[in-house]
Amino acid sequence: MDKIAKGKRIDLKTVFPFLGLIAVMIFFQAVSGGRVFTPKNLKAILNDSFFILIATVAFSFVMAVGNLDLSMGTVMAVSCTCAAVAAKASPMLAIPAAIISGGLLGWFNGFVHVHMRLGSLIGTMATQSIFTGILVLLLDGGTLSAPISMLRWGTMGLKLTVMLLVVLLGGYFFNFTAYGKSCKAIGSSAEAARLSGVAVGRVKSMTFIVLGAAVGLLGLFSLIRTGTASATTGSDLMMNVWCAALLGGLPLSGGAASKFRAPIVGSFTMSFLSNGMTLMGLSTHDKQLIQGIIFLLTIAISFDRKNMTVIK
Amino acid sequence: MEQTEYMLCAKGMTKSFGITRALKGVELYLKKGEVLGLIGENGSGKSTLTSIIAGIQPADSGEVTLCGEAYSVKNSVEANQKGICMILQEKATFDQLSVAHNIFIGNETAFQKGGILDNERMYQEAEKILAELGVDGINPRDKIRDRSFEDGKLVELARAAFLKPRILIVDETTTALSQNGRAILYAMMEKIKKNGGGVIFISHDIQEMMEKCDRLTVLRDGDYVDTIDKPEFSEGKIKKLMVGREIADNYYRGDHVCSYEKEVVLRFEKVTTKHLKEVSLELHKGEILGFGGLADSGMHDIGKASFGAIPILEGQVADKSGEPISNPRESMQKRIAYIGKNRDQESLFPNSPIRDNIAIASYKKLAKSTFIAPGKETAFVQEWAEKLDVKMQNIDQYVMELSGGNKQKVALAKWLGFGADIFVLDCPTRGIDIGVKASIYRLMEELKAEGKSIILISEELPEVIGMSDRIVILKDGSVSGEFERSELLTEHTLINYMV
Repeated sequence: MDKIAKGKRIDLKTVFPFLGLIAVMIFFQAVSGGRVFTPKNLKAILNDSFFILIATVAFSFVMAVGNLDLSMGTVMAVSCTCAAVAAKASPMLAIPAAIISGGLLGWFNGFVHVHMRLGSLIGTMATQSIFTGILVLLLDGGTLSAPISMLRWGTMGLKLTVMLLVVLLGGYFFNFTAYGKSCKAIGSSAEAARLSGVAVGRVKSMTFIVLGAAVGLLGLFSLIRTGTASATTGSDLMMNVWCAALLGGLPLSGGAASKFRAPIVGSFTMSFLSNGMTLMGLSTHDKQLIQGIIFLLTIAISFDRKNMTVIK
Repeated sequence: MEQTEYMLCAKGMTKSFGITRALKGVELYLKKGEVLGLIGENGSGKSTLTSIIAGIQPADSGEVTLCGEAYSVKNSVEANQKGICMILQEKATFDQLSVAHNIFIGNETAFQKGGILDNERMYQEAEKILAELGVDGINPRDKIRDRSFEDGKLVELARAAFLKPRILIVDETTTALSQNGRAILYAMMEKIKKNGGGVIFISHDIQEMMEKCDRLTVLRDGDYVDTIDKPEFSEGKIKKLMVGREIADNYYRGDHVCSYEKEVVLRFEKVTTKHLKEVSLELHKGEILGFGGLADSGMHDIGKASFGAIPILEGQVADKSGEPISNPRESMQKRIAYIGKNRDQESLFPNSPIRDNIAIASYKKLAKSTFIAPGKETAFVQEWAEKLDVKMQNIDQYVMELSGGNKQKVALAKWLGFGADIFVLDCPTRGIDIGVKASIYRLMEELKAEGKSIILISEELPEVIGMSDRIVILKDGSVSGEFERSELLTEHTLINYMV
């Protein structure tokens, strides 16, 4: 009895993201004449997916609650800049500077949503603009560079370790702790969660703080990778992460249908997609156009229109 | 059967929702000038059948004839045009619109002149319709959101009255109405009956059904069971037809003794909330404390305030050691549990599996430091779902797929598993069938025997009288009467203190 009913739950929505990933892999492998699965290219894909995966894992908690975040790209740029400023004093200082600045901006997002009681979409739209202002002030119209010594930090080993750690921790908290379960409960019904003893405001704030800190960490790695902090840092992060989350099958309304496999599958789909387009010789602008179309199609297919009002 | 005698005939009606077969070939015959009661447990298909007739959803198969002609409608507007109107169980008014605009919704053209809506005439007409119905105290200019749920239902009645239907369907509306509101509804039904129309009436209250209906059609699990005429009405017979087996007539508490221990476990000290004015009272260990009153008497605030779910403006709710309770998390630390009147919004996560719904209150208990072992959670949920006898496929089934009674069992399992000492139950048997109702009453008796305390808030007076050790009646936010359990206590006595 148990098994039969469980079997039934494996429906199209579960398989679809996996099929998408496989389809993307096969398509670009064929079109590029077998250039996708080469050691060198796979390394490039891992480099790409590093940013998308870590941000999407952190974002999946925000989404499970039923919230969204428009400010993450800017948070990454601010953290990157903070890291660059701190690195001038001492390179090691860059690490806490990036993570703490990101966490603080995330906390502010949570404050706006929870205490000023604004919808996350409108709230983070406003904070995104504020953060951009801070970014411009910090950069003073130019760019900041990292000490050369920091560029050596960016080894594949470190990146893989961090990635693995984030996925393991994320999966643990998402599926096996009261925190992750509370996130999904709030996404299902915030009022019922409150009346079941969930500290709704605190949990919501925490999801934003964690996302901010994770994106702050990415700001640090962006500094290590490119050596500079500029106004364009992180500008493509948000779109990539939103796409990855939707391609992976995270529902916009949050709740119990949010699964942890989604950010992982979605991130790799997005990385293969982006890489494949580069292999085909598409320019950044062409890629943006196509990515926009893919985003629209994914959301059109996956959007649960019945639960529209649930999105806050 | 002679066809002409009936104004509405439905035959072989079927309807499925996914794998759930809500109707499996049901029939219904409505005579001219009668009130036909449609009765059955939750999930028996009453609402599905009537909403198909009212054009709210299509049937999978089946044949409906209206006055001898084939009847098929695509939506409720078409049904209205053919003279069929339905009052829904759920809220069907628009918050942002005025009372008058709600009454005439979809029929605004009648008040148009050159494309401009004559609001003034609309208000006057609305006032007339409300007055004819006997509703007073509702200004047609008020926004619905400023009116109570009951007023909303009365506005829906006015909307139906304006359409002058030949057939009126009333789906479980009386639970939302006070005595006065009910009188208005009954008068309206009587009028339609007199004018040669017909009424299909749905209610869980068997007494009410026996009083108001001329014939009763009984459904069970989507099947047609039987139709009985007024002379054959008896509570025992109807219940038997509904559940398919004998049910004892008296399913409330067997004893008539008011009993509780001395220890006070919860204390209201001059509590003022939005709907309560300086209410002071005490709940004792092993006591079932019942609350009755009209919908706006503030009795639902008693439940919410006991659980710290609403702001307390003045005074305090304190536990046995005198510590105040100000939010649900604190009250849970003091072992208080709350099941709200609006089950689907307040007590349950309909879009989540049974597992999450039962475990949510007990994560602290289940976690080892932060880790919640899936096996431990499964065992816990399984244990309590089975103890409460929840009818389910497995614990990963979604709660929205369950019937009302089973949903309530899930909510109860959550708090029993949590291990509460005080249970605050607001309308625990609302919209629940007899079988589950009886099991909830038995459960309450068991809890009392174990020394747990219960606050029972209910719109059904027989239930309050039948279960409580003490009964508090509220009126306009204040205590208007307090009674001890006694055999002599009647509904009539209590109602005098309510209005």
